Amino acid sequence: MKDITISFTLNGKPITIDFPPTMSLLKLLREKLGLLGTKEGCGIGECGACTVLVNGKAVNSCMMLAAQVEGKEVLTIEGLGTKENPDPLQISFVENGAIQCGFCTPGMILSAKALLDKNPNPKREEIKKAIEGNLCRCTGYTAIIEAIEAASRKK
Amino acid sequence: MESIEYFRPSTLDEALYFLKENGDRSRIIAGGTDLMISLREEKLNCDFLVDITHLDELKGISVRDAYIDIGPLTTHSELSESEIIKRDAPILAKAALSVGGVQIRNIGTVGGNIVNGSPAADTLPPIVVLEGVLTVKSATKTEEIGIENFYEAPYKPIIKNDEILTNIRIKKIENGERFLFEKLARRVSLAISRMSLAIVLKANEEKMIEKIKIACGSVTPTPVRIRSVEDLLMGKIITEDLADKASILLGEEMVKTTGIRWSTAYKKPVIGNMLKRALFELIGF
Repeated sequence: MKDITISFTLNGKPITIDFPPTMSLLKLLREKLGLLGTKEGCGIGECGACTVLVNGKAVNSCMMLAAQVEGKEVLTIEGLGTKENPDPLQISFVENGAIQCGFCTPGMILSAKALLDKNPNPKREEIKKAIEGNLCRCTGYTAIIEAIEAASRKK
Repeated sequence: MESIEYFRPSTLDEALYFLKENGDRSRIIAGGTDLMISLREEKLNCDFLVDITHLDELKGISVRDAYIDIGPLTTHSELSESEIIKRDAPILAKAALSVGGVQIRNIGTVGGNIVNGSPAADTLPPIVVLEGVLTVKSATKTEEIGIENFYEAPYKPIIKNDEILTNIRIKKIENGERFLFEKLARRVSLAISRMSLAIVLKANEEKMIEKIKIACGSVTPTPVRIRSVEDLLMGKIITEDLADKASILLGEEMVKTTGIRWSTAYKKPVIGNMLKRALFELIGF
């Protein structure tokens, strides 16, 4: 399989990279770029663990060819905040106990980020709709919804 | 699979010309939410992936007289958020919003939904009752096909491998028309529809039906209007008795077109009741 070359912006930095044309965005991030924050859960677009933002919109990175992000801006959890300087959403998830096993957390936080960027003061129902594509099998969602509400109040 | 090449045409014409030469060995990617699953399962038998996702010529929503033109690469999110669709075809906005989750709606396109041709596709029943007409282009010709004639079987649209769906034209909801889209699934979110129902109708003050169009998802193998039920209701005053007759007939029609299945014991009464409830909500009896 002939590799293809594409350029895009990853977590604020321009990048040009070669990869096989059938590679998903998820595989590119994890296996070629070593960004392991983005998780593979189901691999078929049902769990949302692989959520990243493309041009500010939440997408399942397992449902896109990496080639499709040519010229676009991709944000993964690694680009959202650092240990020293976490995003308000990350602080809020910790403070509200919205993390148990943590596997859904990167995707959950990025879905919440896409929501708050578009709608800084969402209603509870809007929060639920925004994270409907992210499954969490630990928390029962309540703490997650409260964490997103708390983050929106801080902004 | 190992030798698949990726081709990204920069215009529709370039895509059509490529397909003229290589259509039988190509698969088109128009979003990717269905295709990526085939790719993952290594069930994608082709030599070329033709990525048209970025072609602006195939995007956008516009109104012309009583019709709306929808570019097939419009995502489900764009469809559900479009002011035009929300105002003039709200049943399609509601159906698009019921597809998958946000992440799927941001990638999946209405054209992909149509060409994939799943009997459970959420946007199809509304497009049927809004009398959708599809424009299909090849390098040499352009054709218009009514949505009901677009499939020979589930997942088998009649579009040829050198053709691309380039436009979806639907009728606006007219003044005085009542409408409804209802989807029933195993859970509220991220669910494939078990059954869906789209209705557009007109009734006068005596509750007499003057016009009615009904289509269902996951009930008929391909998206079609249920004309026997429409005929039963047309020109009649809605009563509970008539609604019961229509709901029984709809269940029977489903069995007639899809046969008896493991799910029939559930689906037959439930699709009927969905219709009865819809008639009650829209007209009352």
